[in-house]
Amino acid sequence: MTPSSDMKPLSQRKRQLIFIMSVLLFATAVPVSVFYAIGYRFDFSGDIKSIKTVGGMYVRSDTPNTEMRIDEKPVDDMRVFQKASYIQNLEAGIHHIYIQGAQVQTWVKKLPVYAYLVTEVSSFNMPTVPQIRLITEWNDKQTGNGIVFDTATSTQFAFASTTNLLLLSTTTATTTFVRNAEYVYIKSLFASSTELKAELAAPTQKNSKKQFSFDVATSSAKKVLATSTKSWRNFKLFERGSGVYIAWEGSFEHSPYYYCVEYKTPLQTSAEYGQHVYDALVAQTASSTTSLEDMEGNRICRTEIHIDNLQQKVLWFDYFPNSTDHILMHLQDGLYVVEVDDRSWQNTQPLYLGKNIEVLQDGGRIFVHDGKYFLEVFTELQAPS
Amino acid sequence: MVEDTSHLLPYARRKDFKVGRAPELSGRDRVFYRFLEIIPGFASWTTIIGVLLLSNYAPFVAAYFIIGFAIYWVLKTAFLSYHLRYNWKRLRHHLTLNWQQMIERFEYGHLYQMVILPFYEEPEEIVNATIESLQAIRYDKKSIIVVLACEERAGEHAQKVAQAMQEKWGDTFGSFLVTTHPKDVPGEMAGKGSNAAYAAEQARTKILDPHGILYNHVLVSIFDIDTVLYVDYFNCLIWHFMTCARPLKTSFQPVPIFNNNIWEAGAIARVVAMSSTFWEMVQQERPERMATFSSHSLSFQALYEVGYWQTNMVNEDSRIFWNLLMANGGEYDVVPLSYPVSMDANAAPTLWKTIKNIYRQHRRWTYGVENFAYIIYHFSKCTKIPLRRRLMIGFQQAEGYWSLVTNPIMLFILGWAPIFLGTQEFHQTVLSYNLPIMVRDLLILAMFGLVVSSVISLTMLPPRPKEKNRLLYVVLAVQWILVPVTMIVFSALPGLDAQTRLMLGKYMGFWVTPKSRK
Repeated sequence: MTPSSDMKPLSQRKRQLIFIMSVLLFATAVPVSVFYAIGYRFDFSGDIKSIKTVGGMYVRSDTPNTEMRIDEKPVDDMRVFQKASYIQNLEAGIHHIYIQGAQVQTWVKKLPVYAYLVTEVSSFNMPTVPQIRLITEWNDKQTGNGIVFDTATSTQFAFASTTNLLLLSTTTATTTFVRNAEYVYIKSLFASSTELKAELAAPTQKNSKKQFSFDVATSSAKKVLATSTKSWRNFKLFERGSGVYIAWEGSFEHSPYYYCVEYKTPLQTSAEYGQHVYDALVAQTASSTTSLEDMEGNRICRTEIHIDNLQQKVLWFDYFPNSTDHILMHLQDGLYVVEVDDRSWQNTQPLYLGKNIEVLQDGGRIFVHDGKYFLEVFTELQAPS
Repeated sequence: MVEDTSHLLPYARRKDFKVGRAPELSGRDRVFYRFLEIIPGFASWTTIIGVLLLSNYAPFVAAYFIIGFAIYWVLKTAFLSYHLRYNWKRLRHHLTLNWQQMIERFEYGHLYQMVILPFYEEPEEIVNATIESLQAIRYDKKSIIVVLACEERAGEHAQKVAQAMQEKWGDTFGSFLVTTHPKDVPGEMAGKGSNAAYAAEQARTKILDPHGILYNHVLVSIFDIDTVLYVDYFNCLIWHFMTCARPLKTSFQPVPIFNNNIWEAGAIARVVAMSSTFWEMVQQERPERMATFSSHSLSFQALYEVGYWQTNMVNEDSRIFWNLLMANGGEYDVVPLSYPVSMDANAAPTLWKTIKNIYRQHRRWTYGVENFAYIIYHFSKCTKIPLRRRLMIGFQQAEGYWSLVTNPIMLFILGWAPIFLGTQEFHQTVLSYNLPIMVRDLLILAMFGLVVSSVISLTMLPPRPKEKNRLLYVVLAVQWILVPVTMIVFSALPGLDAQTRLMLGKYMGFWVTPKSRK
């Protein structure tokens, strides 16, 4: 049957009721949400229900497929962004953070978390087995594969994982091979690097006891001021005395997070960030060349950080490709990646070990000259060839 | 020659009654009106710039404000969705009613339906489709007076179309009058208002007066030329006319459903068209906030008493309501019919043209902000309207124009401003990290309102043409994810554009939306 009466519009009373309910909901939701966003949480865990304050941790990580643990517990309450994770609801105090994964080195840090604040950190996990690509002088004409004039490479690079296909040749006749242009280029880079090192080493040796040698074949964006100074993105990487330092030359407002600490007392600062951080703060306070800047609140920012050299002689150093958070350090027993962030300690991970190697970086790629071989060393796990 | 104003209501005789813009006034009135024209644009720009400055200099305050605003948006979405769903039920119910049977109990034989159809350069098939739908209507055709209102400036084409229509439909209706609005009349703006006003006056002198038809016995419906009527429109109108509190002091507003060409239109055009329909549906459930929009009906008497539609401004369809409200000292209403009329979605042959046309159409619609100055100006003069009502309407209008422009921009763009502009101190806080997460989560929550929209839109589609694939239904359901973009591009930006023009005194003219059907 056809209905015979119209349907009345929403009654004024009903609309008013919904409106009032919405207003009440708004009045309740806004303060609750704001307090939650600031870092207040209801604590239902104890006998006495209370409100607690929390902080957070923001961890950048470029390594895929890693697991994060805080205080030895896996982290499940986190927001995952493209290359970072935000861990919420951390109580104020010192927390141990671990980033680990298969075939990569474990990164560990001890950091303080404060109520209402987020502690930032950037992790890195270099492969446990060096990931290399052999750059051969000759390539096979047909397949393009590199040719190794040896009976076997398996023993030579047993410690590493090669990503390119190689052909073993017992004969040195090169008629069926084609010369590898990349090899020629890389060889020339190392040659010029050695010549320049020799030139630059002379005044250095005259003036001081410096024992470093420096690569000049850096990417064009980096400005090499002197043999021992490399400026890039408002950072200055340089040697002083027997140490390597990285200084922030930008404005204090934009200081990278690891240059800054929450300063309360000497004891607390040492406990939370390490004695070396406190010592650095004291040294910079006394220094006439470096300075400290008081940020708002208790935050103090340094201008320079010492890079750990594992008590070895530094043969070469440079920025990690496309990053100012990590430094490549060529020490006596190999090539290492060292993080700039020295809060608690500086993680140092070997990238390619070897006592008689040469290292250079070209266009964001790392090359090693090991004996008679030239290699490209990768910082990430490579798919097996 | 002195114009006879004796038929006008006393307040409508004021010289400033039909003011279109500040330069038409003088002295303090002009300054006051100009000030009122500046307010909406100034308020919107102040809000947008204010949020940016706050984000830079007081990011904590900006963050609290943004969280509060996002919650407000969620609740507003839920609130409006509730209204929309209710009106959808009501509209569907009204479509099932036998209105003809329902009006049998009334004596309405003395009432005439005057249909004014202003058109410009629209093709013949569009004009014909509208008149055809009028011919198919369930109502005594001999009580219908059709006034086909063409423009002299449209040239020979319009005359030919009108002529063809008169020849085809002239005998179908009680009267069929073709009027030609002369071009370049001093003091007039070329547009729908001046054409419609001219047509109404012509109809009065050529049909009503000669036949001795009383003005209060005539219901005028002004329809855009692409309006296709549902069969019971006039029965539904009569029922509401007969049952409302003061029929001669009331305008009747149908729901414009922009779906005539919905199967041919692209996703953007469909979403924008349906969003406009939904907004009108929401408004139907809160008549105290309603003004007339696009196609609407009212008594000729009421229209005559205010001297028809305004001829010197852009949005005459909504202005006529404000004219009537002022002239009647607040004793004038809009009654929502919750009964549809079908119109064309704004769709051009190419995507870029569609985007351009929708933008321009919405800029014209949002230029309705010129009503704000008119309303507040006359509220300061027309003290007969209770102060409480004036304050309520003033606030509602101001909030409406302000939120139209600022809400989408604040939500989808400025919500992230403190993160990019905030101080280092702010960036280290939990608040800084939680802000984007919370705003995003709240916006996702608000998106559930789109699910309601999506479902309702599917039920309002005309039958699927055979050549269209069934899978298009999936597209029609999913297309609502475009809403954040359409809200900014076709609501906030044209609104801001219109308000800025008014603020700077760069007054807009009338822009005719091109109509075409495949």
